[in-house]
Parts: sequence; C-alpha cells; structure tokens
Amino acid sequence: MHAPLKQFLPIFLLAALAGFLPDSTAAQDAASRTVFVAIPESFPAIDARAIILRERDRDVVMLRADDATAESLAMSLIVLRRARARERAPTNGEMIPITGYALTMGMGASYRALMNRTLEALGERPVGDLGSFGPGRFLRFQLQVGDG
Amino acid sequence: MPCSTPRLVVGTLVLVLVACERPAPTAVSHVPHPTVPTDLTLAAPLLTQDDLTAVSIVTHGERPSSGLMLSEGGEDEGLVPATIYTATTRVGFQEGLAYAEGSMEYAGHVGRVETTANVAFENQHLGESTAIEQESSWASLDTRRHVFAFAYVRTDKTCGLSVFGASEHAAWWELFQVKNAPTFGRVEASSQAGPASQPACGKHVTNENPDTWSTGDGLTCTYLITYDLDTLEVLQVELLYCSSGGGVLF
Repeated sequence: MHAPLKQFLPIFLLAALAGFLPDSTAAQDAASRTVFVAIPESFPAIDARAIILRERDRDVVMLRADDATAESLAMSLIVLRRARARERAPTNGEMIPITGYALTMGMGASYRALMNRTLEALGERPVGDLGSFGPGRFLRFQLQVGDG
Repeated sequence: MPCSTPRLVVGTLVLVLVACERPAPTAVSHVPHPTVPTDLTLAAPLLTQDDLTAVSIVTHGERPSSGLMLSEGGEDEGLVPATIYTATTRVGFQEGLAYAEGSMEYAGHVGRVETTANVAFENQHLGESTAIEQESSWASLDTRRHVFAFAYVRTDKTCGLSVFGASEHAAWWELFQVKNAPTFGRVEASSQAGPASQPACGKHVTNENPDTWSTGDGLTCTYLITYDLDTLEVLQVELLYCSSGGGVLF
C-alpha cells in the first residue's frame, strides 16, 4: 500500500463510520441549528399566516408574501422557540402552521428594526427554488434562536 | 534618443489599434458574481386545509348490493325528499377546549353535518377547526336518526377567547352500494351559534424595555403535523391548539 494512502486510511474509515453513527450530539447540534426565513411565491393552501418547518438539522420560518411583517416574523420565532423547547432536534419532520396570533404588548424599536432589516434583506435576495414549496426567496437568519 | 515625428505617429496608431482590438475589461464580464446559494431544497408533504379537517364516515347496517330501497308501504322513497327535523349548532368552553357542536335529526339513508368552530381573541381571528360527521343507515328506514359533529380547538387560555360555530346539515337517500352511487331527495339546512366568550383578561402589561420584545399574555394558534422525512408520509396531525403565554426573544 502506498504510504499516503496508509496515512489517510484511518481518516477515511472514521469519516465513513461517522455517517452511520447515531446522532449522539443532537442536543449540542440543536443549539447551533440553522434557521432560515423564506417567502415562497405561492404559499401552501392552508389556513395559516406562517408555517414553521423543522427538519433534522435546520428550521425554516415560511412567511406569506402579503403578510411578511415584523410581527409575523417575531411571532413565528416565538413558536419556533417553543417547538425547540419541546423537542430540540426532531427525528421526524414537523410542519407547524400558525393560523393566528394575538399581540398584547408592543415590540421594542430596536427589535422591530431588526425584524424589518431581516425582511428587507430577504426581499433583496434573488428568487430560487424552495423544493416542495416552489420558487421563493430565503436567507439564513443571523441570530441564534433560543430553545428555552 | 531623439524621437522622430513619423515614429510617434506610427507608435500612436499601434497603440490605438491595440486598444480597439482588445476592449477594456468591464466589471460585468470580469468580476465574478457572489456565490450566494439561491436554492433551499425543502421536502415536505403538500397539505391542503381539507387534510386538517376531522372526518368521520360511519355506516350502520348493510347496504343492499343492488336495487332501490323501498319503504314499508312499498312506496318508492325516491319520490319524497329526505327530511331534516332539527338542525342546531351550540358553542361553549370545556376545560381545555373551545368547541362548536352541530347536530340534526333527520330521515334519510345518509345524514351529514359539517361544523366549524371559529376562535377569536378580543375580536381578532385566530383560527378555525372543522369536523365532518356522516352516518349512513340501512337497517330501519322509518325512524328519526341523529347525527352530530364536534369541532374543537384546544387551548390553555382561560380569558379573552370567543368561539363562534356554524354548521351545514344535509340528508339524502342513496341507491345501492357502489362508489358515487346516485343520490336523490337531498335536503340541506344551516345553523349558527355564538359567540360564547370567556371572561375578559386583565389589563395588558406594557413593554418597559424597548430592546426586548415579549408577547406578554398574547397567544398563538398552531397545528402540528409530523411526517416522515424520507417518504414525506404524514404520521400525525394534531388539531388546532391555541397557547397563551407568548414569550420573550433574545
């Protein structure tokens, strides 16, 4: 066997094994799970103002194009936070349509500005493919969403 | 070394020609676009609102394999319409539930009630849940039958919620047992109820820190649909739940 091959064989084996190992660090991964915010051009035919989509390693907040407001984004993030508290990294897929929400407290100015900046940046993204949800825009959310 | 005029002219021409032959690079052609991914490959079951409706279709007794059902007097039932004697909807709250119950008394082979419970918080629409109950009976044709549909929204909220209810009622006769069998004598009715309301909530708290945000005693209403990530098969649909408490982000 060639020397370089011999040298890297353990690394190859470890890498191959890693793909089949159970996710023993799921809890740790959950803290750093990626959150995307997306606006499909055609929203699913469900009575929902927003939808949370949870996969094994990422969460997606899907907003309606005509209801993409600071409030709807913030409420979606709160629902996501609750979902993470219930199950940090789901083994099955989860779809959480949010049919409605009621706000009884105002949003801080800086927080509202953050939500609006996120939505503005999302609006400037090019239209791409959102898989099952067809064409739409998305971006990676820049803040960590807690799970407590 | 002195530079003669002809040499200057020739040199200038050469420079001009070279410049014309190779245009200056533009920003568009030579600056690469930023490699930001534009695709997010999401795979999820594409559900419609009907998938979130609780449907129960029950058949009592055996349908005839063929032929028209006749009444005891031998009269063809197809000549008289089915009958809806009463059609009502009522709404209310039980522990952990806001509900609407639609019911009817009828005569016919099939009775169907579709009831929707519509929940609002301080006049702000939050969501609705629909239940469909359909019963078929072939055992005895001359009795009044009763069917009801119970639509509900789960909630931990104890103040500020209102629930409205609406039902569509229908009864009809059917021919023999085949899919999409001919129906006749169909009658329909509708009923509404509400609102039933919880006690009003206390005074809303105010957000004293402008850099944080809380929903205070607000609430959100959500479904929870669980599906297999590989096959996209829907494993479970939890009906609408309105949860109070809101939360604080960041």
